[in-house]
Amino acid sequence: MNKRGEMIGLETLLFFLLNLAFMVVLMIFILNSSYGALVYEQTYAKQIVLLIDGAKTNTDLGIDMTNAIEVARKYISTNKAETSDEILKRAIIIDKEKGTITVSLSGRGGYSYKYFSGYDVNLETAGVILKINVREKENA
Amino acid sequence: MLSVNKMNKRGGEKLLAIWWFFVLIVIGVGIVAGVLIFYNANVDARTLEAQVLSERIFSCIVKDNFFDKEVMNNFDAIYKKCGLNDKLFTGDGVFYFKISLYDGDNLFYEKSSDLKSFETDCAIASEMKKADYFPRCVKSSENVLFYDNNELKSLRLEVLAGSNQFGRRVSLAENDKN
Repeated sequence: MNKRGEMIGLETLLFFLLNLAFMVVLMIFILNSSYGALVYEQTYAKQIVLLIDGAKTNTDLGIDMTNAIEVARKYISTNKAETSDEILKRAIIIDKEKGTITVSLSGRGGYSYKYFSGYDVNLETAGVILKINVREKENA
Repeated sequence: MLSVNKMNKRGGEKLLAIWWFFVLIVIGVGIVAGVLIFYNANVDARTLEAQVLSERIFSCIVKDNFFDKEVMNNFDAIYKKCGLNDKLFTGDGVFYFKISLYDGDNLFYEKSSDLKSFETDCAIASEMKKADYFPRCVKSSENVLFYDNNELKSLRLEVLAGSNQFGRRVSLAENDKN
């Protein structure tokens, strides 16, 4: 009787734990998605590319990345003392050879978009501002 | 009889547990799919890109209302002149432009970048309501002046610019490789 009672108790516990695990995993997934990293990655990548494409040579542009930094902090910043500059340097990647901008806020890949500008494009950070410098190519 | 009922009940409970987890998985997959579809929705910037490209071409081939003759003599120089990455306009490229000069209704000069199928695709896209994977094009025009054999002509410059760029999600490993 005791053995059978113990078995039923164990089964109920296992059933409860599996349900709980399912709910927790689902809630974590929904919570992570609700930060909107996928949307921010895409919109920032496209916004930066449009700014680069629209810029003439010898132009300096600035874009406020506050929202991107806040989202990135929720995902990839384990170090509380990490500055906005450090987060931006890690999250915004430029590939000059391929002419692409990649924004990665979640730390699990990112969104990549091409710019058609043939100028020399450099990215710098100043706090929450991402500076885009567009210059004539030196070998051009 | 009592023991048979008990056995059925136990078997029924197990079956219910399996069925319960099956339902949970179906619900879970549904929620995950819904969330992913919602947050992966594409923000279409192709028309804006085409507009930016068109403005850029106008600003570099028209100076003080005069059409730059150098473009006619050496069309390929337009990429350097306008600061365009020529690789994206050829082969597997995703951008296109065409320059047309009209003298009244007569075509005076016309030249385009390599991906000529864009023009047809753009025409289809503008006629069809649901053509998501067709390029988006912008056509703009303005009057320009041009010296043709020392004769000053007023021509209509038309620029057709198109983009069919879809960004893509990349993995971290792919980023590190680059």
